[in-house]
Amino acid sequence: MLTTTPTSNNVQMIISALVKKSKRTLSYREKSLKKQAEYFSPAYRDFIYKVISNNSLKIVSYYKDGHITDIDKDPEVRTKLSKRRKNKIYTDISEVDTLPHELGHAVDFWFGENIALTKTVLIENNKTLYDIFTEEFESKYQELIELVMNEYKDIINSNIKENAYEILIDNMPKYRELNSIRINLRDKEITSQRRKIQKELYKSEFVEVYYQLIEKKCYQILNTKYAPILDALSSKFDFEGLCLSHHKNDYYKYSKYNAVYEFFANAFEAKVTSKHCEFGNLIKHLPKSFNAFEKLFVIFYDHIQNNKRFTDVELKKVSERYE
Amino acid sequence: MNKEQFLNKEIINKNNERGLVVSFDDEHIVIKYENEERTYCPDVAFKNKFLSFLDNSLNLLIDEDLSIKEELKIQHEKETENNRRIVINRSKKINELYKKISAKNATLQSLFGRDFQYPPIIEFEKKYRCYITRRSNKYSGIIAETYGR
Repeated sequence: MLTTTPTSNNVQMIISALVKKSKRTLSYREKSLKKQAEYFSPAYRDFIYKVISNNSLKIVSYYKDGHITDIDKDPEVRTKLSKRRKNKIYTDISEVDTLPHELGHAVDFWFGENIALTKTVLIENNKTLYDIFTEEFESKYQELIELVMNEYKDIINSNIKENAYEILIDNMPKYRELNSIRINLRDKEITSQRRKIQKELYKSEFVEVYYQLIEKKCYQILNTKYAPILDALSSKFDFEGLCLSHHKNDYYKYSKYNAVYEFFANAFEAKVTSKHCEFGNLIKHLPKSFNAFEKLFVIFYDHIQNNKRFTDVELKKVSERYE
Repeated sequence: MNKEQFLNKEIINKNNERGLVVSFDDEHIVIKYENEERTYCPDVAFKNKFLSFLDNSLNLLIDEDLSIKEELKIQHEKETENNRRIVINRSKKINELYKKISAKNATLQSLFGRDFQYPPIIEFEKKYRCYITRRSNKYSGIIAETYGR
């Protein structure tokens, strides 16, 4: 059982720690910082404060979404990061969900042995979180995608109209094609190409269905219930345009570890905020992975709360590590 | 009213000049005085009592005609006012509807690109062009400037 001492001071401490991280981009955003600090679960605020106030960690506000410097497209870039860019979190502070997620990555990447702990810390039976997650997810992803998409189908068809889901899925490739053609009003060929697709989408009722999907926020229930599972599934299926929690399919092609990195960050985000409702489905559908995550989280929590070094953690042998 | 009954009848003006009616229609009355002919607007001249017939029965006929015209004028003004209200209400409703469609159009353009042309809004703009006026993008409000068009 984790022992915590939630105090009202913790919110203020987190705010001060964030302000110190980037006076230029964060110090003037008091309202967002307060909202952000309060978003962390009271039980974990002191832990989060310790993570944020760690000297090696840098946080700056970014206008859109968030990312950390270690998850870069190009491995060359990752290894040649300048001192200034190292251990840096870029986060949209106005979106409260972003920072907890990026902190999950930071904890995974920078608080251990300078290598992602999700793939080096042995949790049970000589297996890392990566091993356990990959094994379980590979055997279940077909079943999971069917489960999630069937639920999505029911929600869409009952909220929009009878065959709305079919319209959405059938026309999604066309919609993605439209999005892949950049607008250039000076170029007649591109414009007519785009117009043609737009007209086809309108005729097939996709435009109306998609508008209703956005207006009625049919995706919200699924995103609340299945966020970590959906993100993991997006490593296998392209969710672009479906409004479900995901990373771009290409992102998972950069590294085979990205799926487990994201799984850890998503579960971490849910753990340190008040989104524990996501855990119900994780426990149900990926129980082994969830247990492994819990164990890894306890290791992090214990070491960071007690200022311990990670020397006592059992790591995968260097020779056995994946490249 | 038959205007012929007033022809060649004696008439007097406020300056006590006497004359004879030479011609008389809805818009003009021509009176021949001793040395000259003068033309007046009958409605104004009789209403202001600038002109009056020597025969009082003719004056009564003129008064009656004036009062009928006055009533018609009031009735016409009322109808115009009602029409104006109807047009303004219609214009308000159209503009409200246009606001909704515009908002939908904006959402669709954010989803399908700013070059997306939403057919219902194009049809709507064609149909109700005279009722809606778009300001520059700086302002989102729509002005009704419909009456009289």
